[in-house]
Amino acid sequence: MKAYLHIFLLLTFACTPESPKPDQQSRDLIWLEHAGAQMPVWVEGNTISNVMVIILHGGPGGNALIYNETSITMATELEERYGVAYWDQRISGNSRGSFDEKEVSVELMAEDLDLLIDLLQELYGPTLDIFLLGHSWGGYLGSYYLLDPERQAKVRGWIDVDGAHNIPSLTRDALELMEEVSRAQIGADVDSREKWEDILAFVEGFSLGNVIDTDDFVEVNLQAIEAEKLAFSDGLTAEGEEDPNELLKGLLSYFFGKHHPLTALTNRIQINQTQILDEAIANPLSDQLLRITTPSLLLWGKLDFVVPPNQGLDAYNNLGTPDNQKTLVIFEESGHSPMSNEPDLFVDIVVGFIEGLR
Amino acid sequence: MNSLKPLPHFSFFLFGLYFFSYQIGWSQDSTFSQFESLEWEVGYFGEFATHPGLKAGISYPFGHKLKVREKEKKYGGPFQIYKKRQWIVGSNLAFYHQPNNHNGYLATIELGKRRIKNKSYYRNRYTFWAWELGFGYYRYQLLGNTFRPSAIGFEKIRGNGTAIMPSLSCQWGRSLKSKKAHPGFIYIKFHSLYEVPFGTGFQLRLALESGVIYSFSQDTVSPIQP
Repeated sequence: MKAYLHIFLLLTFACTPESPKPDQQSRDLIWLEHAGAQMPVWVEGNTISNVMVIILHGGPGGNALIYNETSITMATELEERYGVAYWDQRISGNSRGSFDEKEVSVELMAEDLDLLIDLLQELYGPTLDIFLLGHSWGGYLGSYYLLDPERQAKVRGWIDVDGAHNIPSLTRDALELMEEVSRAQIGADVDSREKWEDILAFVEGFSLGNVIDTDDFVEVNLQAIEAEKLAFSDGLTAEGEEDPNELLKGLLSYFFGKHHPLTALTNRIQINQTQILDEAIANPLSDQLLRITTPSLLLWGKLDFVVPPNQGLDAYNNLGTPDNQKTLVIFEESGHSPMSNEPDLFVDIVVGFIEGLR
Repeated sequence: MNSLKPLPHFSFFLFGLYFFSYQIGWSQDSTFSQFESLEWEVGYFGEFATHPGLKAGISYPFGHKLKVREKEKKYGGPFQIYKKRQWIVGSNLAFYHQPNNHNGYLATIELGKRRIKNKSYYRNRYTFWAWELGFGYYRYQLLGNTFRPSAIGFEKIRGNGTAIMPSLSCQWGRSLKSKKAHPGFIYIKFHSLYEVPFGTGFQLRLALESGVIYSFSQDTVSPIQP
């Protein structure tokens, strides 16, 4: 009897399918070690879809997990359909390692990205379709990466979200947009009129020389972030995802999450001491975008004071991608992060773009 | 990686630790009195408070100064307040785990000062404050899989790294209720740890520790009161 039972159990378990279910969701943590840095990549979502979206986070010195934890609609919807790789760039987020700050350059970061693409294709299949989704600073890094035709050939599609491909030009545009909106709000006599007056006073008192340096950019950038908050509190930009447990989730994530707040803070401080930003300011990419022919989707918030929508237009006009393979979408009720302000529309457009290229 | 080479450094560190403990233990043998004896401590070690771990260590108090003051009880006769200041030297091993990120291992030696006093007229109830400077060897193990480029694509490696870790910590404790001459203590300890190298400089880490301290001594005389 016992023997029959053993055979029965053996057959039962031997027949259990081991292949993954079609809707299987991956939650993999991999680290890429290169040139002194150890960079984490959380690969989440439907990796058997044969599509991988690599998130190029903002900053420099931001972190990728923020897109997973705070842009819930984008993360959930994209992960349901595709694999999403949340990659922390070197000296950013949870990255570790040790190296000389003089070694850090945009080119080195682009090399990291190139290796990451190769690694993902080695791990998840050589025919994996790679899509880059760069936000803000990630827009600069992604554009820089794609300037090289060999690298370009590895990428199926480029999604540029409020990308900072030309920092001197965006600094001027930011001042113009702040002036325009603050005058309109002061004219409308809104409750926050005084704060808009402060922003207008800043803009009027700020003189940009012919050469824009890091200090100019940082000063304007900080004011633009204030304007962004003010526009949001005035209801000019959409509330997006409302989560009643946002504070609790934030605290839990802070203390128990995958990322380490002190590591992220340290990286943020350290990257500001490198020459990365100076290098990006000294090398605006508008005139070089002609070399990029990858199918591209450009997504911009109409009230993005940080990287104003004129930059989207600039990217659209300068990209070498044929007109029928590039699209510029302006989100009417969004600021610097349309994936947070108008998440459903954002996801629909991104999914439509990816599906159109599969 | 420019981090320290793990094995040779760790061996030197362990040898140094052993040598240091040996010297202290035996050079003061003649004054190894009932006032000072080895203590052991174990506790929860939470890197960033919430990344859970464990810590175990031994410490040796030495070179004390004792002050005695007499006070009147509210009801009844006089009683003595004992205040003892002492140096402590210790060594610890700690481990913690940050889910979906890394595990950390830390070996430290610490030197500090402790001030211990009895609580009112209870002979066996004490509280103490201590601060300590430490020097540690830190090793982390990345969770998940780590890859680095190689001549044939990528090779899977053990993702880890090492660093030195100076620290500054402060500790508060109180004795457990006991009629023994050497009661146990519960304590809470706050660490600021400096991971060097990290990135292009160093990283501050914070840790919260809580546990118990017991003396190895079987003496019948209290560690504070003569």
